[in-house]
Amino acid sequence: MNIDKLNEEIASLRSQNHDLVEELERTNHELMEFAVILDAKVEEKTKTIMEINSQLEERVQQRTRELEAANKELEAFAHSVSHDLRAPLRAIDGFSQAIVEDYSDIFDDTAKLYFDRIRNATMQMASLIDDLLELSRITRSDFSTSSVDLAVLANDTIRLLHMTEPERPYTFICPASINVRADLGLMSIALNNLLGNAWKYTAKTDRAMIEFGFMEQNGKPVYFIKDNGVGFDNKYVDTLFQPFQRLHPRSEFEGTGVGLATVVRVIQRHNGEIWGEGEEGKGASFFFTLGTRSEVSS
Amino acid sequence: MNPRKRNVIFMVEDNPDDELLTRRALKAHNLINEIVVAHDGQEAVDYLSGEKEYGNGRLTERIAIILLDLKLPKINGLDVLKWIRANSATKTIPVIILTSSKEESDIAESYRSGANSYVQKPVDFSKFTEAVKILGMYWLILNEPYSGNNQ
Repeated sequence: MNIDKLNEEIASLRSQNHDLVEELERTNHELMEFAVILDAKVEEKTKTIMEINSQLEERVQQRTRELEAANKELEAFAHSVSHDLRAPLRAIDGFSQAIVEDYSDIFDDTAKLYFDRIRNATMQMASLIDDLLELSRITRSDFSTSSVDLAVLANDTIRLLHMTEPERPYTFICPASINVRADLGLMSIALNNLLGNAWKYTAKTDRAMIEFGFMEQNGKPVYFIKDNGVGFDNKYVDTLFQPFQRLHPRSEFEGTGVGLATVVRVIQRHNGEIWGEGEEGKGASFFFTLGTRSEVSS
Repeated sequence: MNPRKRNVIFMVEDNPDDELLTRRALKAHNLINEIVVAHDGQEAVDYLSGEKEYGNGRLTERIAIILLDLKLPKINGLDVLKWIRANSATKTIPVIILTSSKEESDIAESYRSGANSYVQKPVDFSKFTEAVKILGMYWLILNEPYSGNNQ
């Protein structure tokens, strides 16, 4: 082997090696520079995240304060609605009745009819105020569950309804007991509204029949209230649950349209669901569940 | 002292319409007791403390019942009620809260502060007249007041 050639090769390798080392050092240096930039960037991002976090916390606190203020305002509003709106209504009703009583000889029948209209409108507004207040009360009220027999509540409600129209024949079907865990006050408001509707919309039915019961669906109890009254067209079923929505003219059936919206809120507070089915002239059915926490036995 | 000498109805009411309607309802049922009206909470306290002249003897010895509204100018109804219960001359006089409010908190607070009865003024004037009649029948005729002079 030629020594010179070997030496030459070694020299070339050395030089290559040197180049490599230099490149490595340069890369290393670059890497370190990168690391410093990265560090700075991470630090910057961490700072931003912490800032966002604290801003978020501040915002949550602010929103909570705003929510509390809004709740308080709502409470004050409900209070003044019940007080301030009723007083002028009472005056309108009171003084128009006083006029009719004291000056009946100078008013003809048409005038008296107009006074009746004033009084009817006043009463309607009064029940609207009452219903709205009940609606707001349901959202604000305390919620505490206990063992409640819905059958007892339903029977009481029907008895009271019957007392308003003692002459009216009707059939009420209901199991001996339907025990659930629920808020007693709220459930009684819900059943009042549902059975009140059933009672109201069967007023013109020959053999009025109202049924309250429960069945199993997907292993869960579903409670229902069925009637054979005037019913409704299923295509309007969704609007039924909105406040102030009515499907019948006031001349046919009284009401403010707040009742079912109230029931929806009660059921929602029980983590339940509510839905309805109807057929015009045949009757209406309303179904509800009471969330997972309720149990049933009869 | 003859308890029936207690025949003044002391009404604390700031709304002149409600005052007139209550007067009318009382008259309609021949509950023609003398009616003294205070138009705000301060005037009520002034009357009851004797600071404000009544002109027919000591008012606190003549009052049969107090009809008290809750929402009143200057001093609210609940504070007037607390004042009534804290003063020896007035603490045994029956107080009937007669108000527009049916708020649970108002009802609870009224009874806690010593109200004898809580009646929501109905919007329907016939029902209002009926309520005043029942109140009058019970508190002015049937109920036997404490005949002492409260001192």
